Amino acid sequence: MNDEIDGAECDERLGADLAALRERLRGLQAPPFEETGLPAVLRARSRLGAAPREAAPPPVTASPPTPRRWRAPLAAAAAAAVAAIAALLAVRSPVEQAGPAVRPPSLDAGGAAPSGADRGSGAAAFQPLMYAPGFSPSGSYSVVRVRIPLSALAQGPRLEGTIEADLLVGEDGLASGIRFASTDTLFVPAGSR
Amino acid sequence: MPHDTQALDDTDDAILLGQVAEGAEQAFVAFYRRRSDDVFRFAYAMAKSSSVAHDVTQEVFLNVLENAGRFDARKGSARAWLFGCARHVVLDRLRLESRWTAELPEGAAESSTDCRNEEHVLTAQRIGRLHAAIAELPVEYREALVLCELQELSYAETAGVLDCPIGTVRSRLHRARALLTAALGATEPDPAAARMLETSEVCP
Repeated sequence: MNDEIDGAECDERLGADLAALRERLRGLQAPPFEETGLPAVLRARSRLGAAPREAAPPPVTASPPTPRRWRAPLAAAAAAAVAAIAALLAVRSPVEQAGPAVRPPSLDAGGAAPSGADRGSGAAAFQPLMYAPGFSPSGSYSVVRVRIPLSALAQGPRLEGTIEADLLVGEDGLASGIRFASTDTLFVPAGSR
Repeated sequence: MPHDTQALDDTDDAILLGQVAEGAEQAFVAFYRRRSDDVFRFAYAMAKSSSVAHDVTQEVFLNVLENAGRFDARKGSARAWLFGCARHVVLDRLRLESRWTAELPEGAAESSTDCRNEEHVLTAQRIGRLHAAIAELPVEYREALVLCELQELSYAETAGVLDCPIGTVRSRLHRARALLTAALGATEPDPAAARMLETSEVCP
């Protein structure tokens, strides 16, 4: 009998503590949208001209997206898309950037090609983002690594997986540049996540 | 929350997700502002780490950006769908993390500054121990408890998120509560010792 009373008391107390924890959690807030990497992702989508995507074709499911089995043809298509994007970016006036640093990227008048040393070391140039403030020699920048879904970058067949990119973020919090094509770029197929 | 308001919210969420699927960035921002707190709190409750909760929130909304078109309002609420996404990201993160850096329990900071109220301090400590015990639960019990007890999802919604029968949700919840009771009973400090500990703290 006493055990039953003790059990009921414990249960009641646990319920009260869970309610208190629930109240405490209600006081927590997610970071504001502007303080996440998401605005930069949206800007990168705009920069790369990603057209508004159509709703996914049926059959649709209410189940959350789940990791999928790796499929070689899809991977090849994704890799080709990434290579195409990198090539497209390469013809735009590139800006030198030697890896993660807080110094602004050096910029010749009208932009300069990456130095031979940079090419040799595999460090990729940051590409200026459209509608973004230009690089300032006196400004300081942070490099933020983000993972971008491939489907957000290219039109055509739906691509699985993500690619890592570095964003050059100024003191104002706005992303000014992006780079994909470097030796440390990581393509992550959806099935491996 | 009244049922009508909940239904209205679900409808709004579904509309926003539809717009996100069509590439509307403003809809995505609006959806983030409506639901990011839910995701953040769920991730924090599961992992007991603010930094993990930050990362998970960002990752989840990247997934939303990519997969909004997969949402089907006929098969569940947008909130439940979002928790499903968050669950996958959190579980991935928990699997990847080889070790956790225990953060200062939220109640601990308060206890050092509000030691005038002994009852408040004891409550804060108890809640801190409770959250620590939740973080130690096996993940299948933990997610059921967090979704039902802390995020206040119904059994049916939780079953949808966890992709299991409602009966399984009930049994996991029951088991989780039993494990918590046992764990908290084992770590319950002697009241006299706790009082001594409190009085030894220096009030500001």
